[in-house]
Amino acid sequence: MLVLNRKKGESIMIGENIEIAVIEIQGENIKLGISAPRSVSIYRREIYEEIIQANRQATQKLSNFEDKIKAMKELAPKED
Amino acid sequence: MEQKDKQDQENELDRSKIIFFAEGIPAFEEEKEYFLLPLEEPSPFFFLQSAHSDLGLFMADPFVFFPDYEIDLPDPLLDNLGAENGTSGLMVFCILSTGKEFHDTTANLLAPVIINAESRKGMQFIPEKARYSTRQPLFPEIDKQTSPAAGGGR
Repeated sequence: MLVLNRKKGESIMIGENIEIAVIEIQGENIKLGISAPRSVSIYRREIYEEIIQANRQATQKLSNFEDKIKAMKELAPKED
Repeated sequence: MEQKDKQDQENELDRSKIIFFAEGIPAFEEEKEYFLLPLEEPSPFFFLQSAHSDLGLFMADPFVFFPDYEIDLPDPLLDNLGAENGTSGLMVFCILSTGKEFHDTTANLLAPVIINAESRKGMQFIPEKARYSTRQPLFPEIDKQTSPAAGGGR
């Protein structure tokens, strides 16, 4: 991993289109500003990893639970 | 072999129904083509089946189970889905995780799957802030009845 030292108000460029600026530093909290093209997705890492884990645990084989579906359907609120 | 040919043929016939996830789904970035199967009609349950493997995700219409559920989809996401008319025409699903018993099922409300039926494009929306849980019990009332000490789920 590339490690750079930056002060408040300074920034780094990633390629030509992505800029990450240090906006504010307060104790252990650092406020970052990110400028990037709309097509670039930016996530908080812990949220992204939680979703990856949830997706892995949610995988199913269609053939395995057709009975479950029937039972769950009866528990579902009825659509008006 | 014959079985496989038949399978391929069926997939081929249905290719017009494929929904394309340009970025895959987190944890399954390589799987980009899916079929959306309603499980029984009419039903709030759906199955998102990969067109190329046995990967499947069980999903539900979140608004049936959580009437107060709200999501705020950013414009870039709408652009990526080719949603020219804003959010109209978009379908929202939450991925379900089934436990030992079906009433242990939880819903991932944090990161819903959004599908544009018109453009046949889909993606899992990853919000900037964690407003909802990835494990919201789908049947909270049943959970209360059967396990008064609810909350022990991991």
